[in-house]
Amino acid sequence: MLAMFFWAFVVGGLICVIGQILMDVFKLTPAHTLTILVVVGAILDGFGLYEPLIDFAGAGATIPITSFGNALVHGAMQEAEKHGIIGVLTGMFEVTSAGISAAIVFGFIGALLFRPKG
Amino acid sequence: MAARQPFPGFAEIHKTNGLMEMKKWWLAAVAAIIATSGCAKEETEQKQSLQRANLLRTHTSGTAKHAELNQGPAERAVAYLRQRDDVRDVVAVNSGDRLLVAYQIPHMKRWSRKQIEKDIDHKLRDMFPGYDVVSSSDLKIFWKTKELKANMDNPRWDERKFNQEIRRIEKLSKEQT
Amino acid sequence: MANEKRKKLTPVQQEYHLFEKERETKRPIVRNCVCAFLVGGIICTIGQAISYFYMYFFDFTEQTAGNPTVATMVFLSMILTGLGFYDRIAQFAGAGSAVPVTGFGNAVISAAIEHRTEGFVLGVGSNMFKLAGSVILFGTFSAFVIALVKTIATQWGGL
Repeated sequence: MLAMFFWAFVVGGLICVIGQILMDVFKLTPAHTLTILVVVGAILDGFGLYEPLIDFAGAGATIPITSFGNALVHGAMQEAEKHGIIGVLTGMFEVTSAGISAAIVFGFIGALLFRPKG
Repeated sequence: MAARQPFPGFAEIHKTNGLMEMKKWWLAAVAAIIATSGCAKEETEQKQSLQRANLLRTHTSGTAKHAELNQGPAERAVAYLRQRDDVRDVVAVNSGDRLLVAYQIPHMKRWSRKQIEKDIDHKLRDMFPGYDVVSSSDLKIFWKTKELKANMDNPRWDERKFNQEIRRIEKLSKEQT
Repeated sequence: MANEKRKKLTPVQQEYHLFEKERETKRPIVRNCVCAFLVGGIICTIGQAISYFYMYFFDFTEQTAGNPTVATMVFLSMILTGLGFYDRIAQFAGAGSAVPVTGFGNAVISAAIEHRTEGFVLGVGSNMFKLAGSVILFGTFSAFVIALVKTIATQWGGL
């Protein structure tokens, strides 16, 4: 369990360093950086490389935004195995739903509770 | 921006007045209800599992069959997995027709977790053809199996309860996403 | 790219470009990376602790604990964003706070809070995904393409 915490810290930190390098060295905006990371996550899962990383680093791989791309591909592939090619479209948000629905729900609650600051 | 109050969000809610205030509180109340109902579900879930535990513990079955199952297959499975170098810890339990094996993979070998899982599953199926083998490297399944094994010495557990619990863990291990 | 662009500029503009480059504040890359590593690592460690919490107290496995963990992290980021703490963390950590899902949550939630004065439908509703929308769009589209290619390759290519 301790090893898990350690590797979650290291791997999660390293993914963030990659993001920081994209922002600082290649002078990308945060939006571009996050988009690139999501696409990279999707590509890595396409080659079956992201799942071992999750097994190894746990939350260190599931918390960074790269796991969003991974989860999208994963849901699509899962459904595609069950229902053929149409599953690619229908299963896309099967796994990711938590992140987006949580962001929408809590975003709205946040808008109700908090006021913007000048 | 400079001298900001520590919790400006809350502080400013109090500052508004009149109709706006009522509206705001109404909205806050809705949000609170949403939040608490979300939590309430979790609470009942927890309560249920607690109740279940209590039921099991207070259940006095003087007449019921004692869960005296031959744990030979489970012990053989443990002995086999212990000698593998890609298994760090293992616990196994079996009922009449089911064999539940939970193990932990050493951390540096978790990269190839899927292959190890597949390999162990195949080996165990070959070793115990008469059993419905469920094997998992998941930590939760490991905890649950350990708990079940500890409860086997409990005289208040009868075989039916025991089988039920095995099936519950099996279902949990098959869950995806 | 940058050089081609520069050639089209007039000499004065070129001069200004050099001048600007000189005056541009150098980003302390190493320091930023260390901060991003530490903060990002800590956020992921907290996530790991939350997922162990869900595994220990509820019936979640390593696989299924991911979803409630992400939801909880987004909830925490709502609280921190609303109270204005997340901005301060972001100033210090850069990508360390932007790359984890909490950064995604922060982008959505801060946009929602910021535009609430414009009303709930036109303000909050239509601006919520102003920042995070591109992540969802490109994530979803690339995932679609990749999954499609992979499915076709496995089903018809017999790979």
